[in-house]
Amino acid sequence: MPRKAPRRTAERILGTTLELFNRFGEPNVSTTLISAELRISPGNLYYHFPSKDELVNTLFDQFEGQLFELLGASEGVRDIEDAWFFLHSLFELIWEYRFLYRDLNHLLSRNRRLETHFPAILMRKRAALRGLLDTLIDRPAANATDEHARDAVAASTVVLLTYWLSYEYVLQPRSAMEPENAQDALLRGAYHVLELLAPHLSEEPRQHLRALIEVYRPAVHEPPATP
Amino acid sequence: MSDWPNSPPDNGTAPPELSALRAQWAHLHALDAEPPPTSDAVWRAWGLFHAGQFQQAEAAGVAAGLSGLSVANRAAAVHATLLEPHEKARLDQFQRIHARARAHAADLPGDPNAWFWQGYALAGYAQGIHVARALAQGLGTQVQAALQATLALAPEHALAHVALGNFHAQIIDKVGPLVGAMTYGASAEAAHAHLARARELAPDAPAVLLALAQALLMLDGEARLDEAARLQEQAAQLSPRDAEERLWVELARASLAL
Repeated sequence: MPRKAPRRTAERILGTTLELFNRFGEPNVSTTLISAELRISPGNLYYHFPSKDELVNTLFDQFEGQLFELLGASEGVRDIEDAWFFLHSLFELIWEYRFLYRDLNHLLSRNRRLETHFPAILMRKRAALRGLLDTLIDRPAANATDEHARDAVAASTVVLLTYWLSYEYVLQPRSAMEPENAQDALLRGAYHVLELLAPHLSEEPRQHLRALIEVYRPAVHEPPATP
Repeated sequence: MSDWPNSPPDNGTAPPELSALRAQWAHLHALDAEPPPTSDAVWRAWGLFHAGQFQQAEAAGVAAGLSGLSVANRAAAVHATLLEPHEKARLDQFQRIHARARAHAADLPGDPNAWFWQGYALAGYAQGIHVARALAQGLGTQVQAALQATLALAPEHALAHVALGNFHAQIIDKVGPLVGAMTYGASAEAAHAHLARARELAPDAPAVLLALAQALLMLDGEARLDEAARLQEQAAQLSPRDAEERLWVELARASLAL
């Protein structure tokens, strides 16, 4: 069934806004640019979204909803191939809403919703990755030291997930955020997360992981930095 | 008065003859209960307004003194609501209207539109900075007091009914029905009642139909989507009475085409 007009209009505005935010960064996109891109009047944009913050919040809510659903799916990860697929899906979602990650500190300093919700996002990611690590290691933590070590790996993984695109962006500021670079950037991110997990796995999954990494190695070489 | 930097040129038509404007006054002002002007200067300012020359209408209204403030504020409100492309400039305009309307109400507390433009401008500003933040700054009660004062003086002020219904809907949408009711006295019933009254009073005003569509979605979400879509389609098919209505009809048409 076709979407009803009011929803369809709001979705079109959100879709275009997301595209502009992702390409140019949220701080560089004004409501003027958004209405010009959509060829609608400023009043029409305000009618649907009374401020740019409202657009940011709505896009953030969409992202948060999808992310929590995906993190919930981490409980279904049984082996290293599931983990690879899960991490790739996680990076894909982050890529889809990459404007949030690209200017995270800026957004946190001026948007109350993000400021209050983003810490919980990192904690949920961390809990999901800790669970995933436990599944892949396939035995409970032996002692407190082991426990702390697993927590540390989960935390490092979250840092990698959260800031991977910033790293790509620094290396190639002019092209890293363009859609044609998505595939490579995501593969590299997932590869590095798995490399971080590898030393902690038992022999069989580690071998399996090594085999997977070999398959993807040609694709995961970083591009040379372009100053 | 401050000017409107970066504003697009008003693409209005030539103002109507005063005699034509006088003849159509009741029809053109069915929504805002504005009485016919008592001076030629204010008649001319309204002529500019209805022709879509909003910036000139604001200037002419301000120049005409106290009796010209309604037209000045309405012209600036249309510009801020529908035409101003820059967010910051838009918020400044709402603040300017609010300050001017406050002074207007201090001098003429019996003029419903002195109160209405205060409430309207403050509600627009609140929405622009986010309603929850505006409520935390205490703006919620000021918006409601100004709009209720308007309705106490002019119970058939359709724009005040729609503004009040819409503001209640926004409070409920942003802070939830419980906090909305406890802290600000906002209720879905009151919002629906004001919106229904606005529709009775102004069944063929595109601005009212579009505000209704928006409020229904905020109050009842998907359950009222069909109705909201019909209201938007109805607004798109109306024949505008003046330049402001033409902007609203164009907005409805552009939204449907998107």
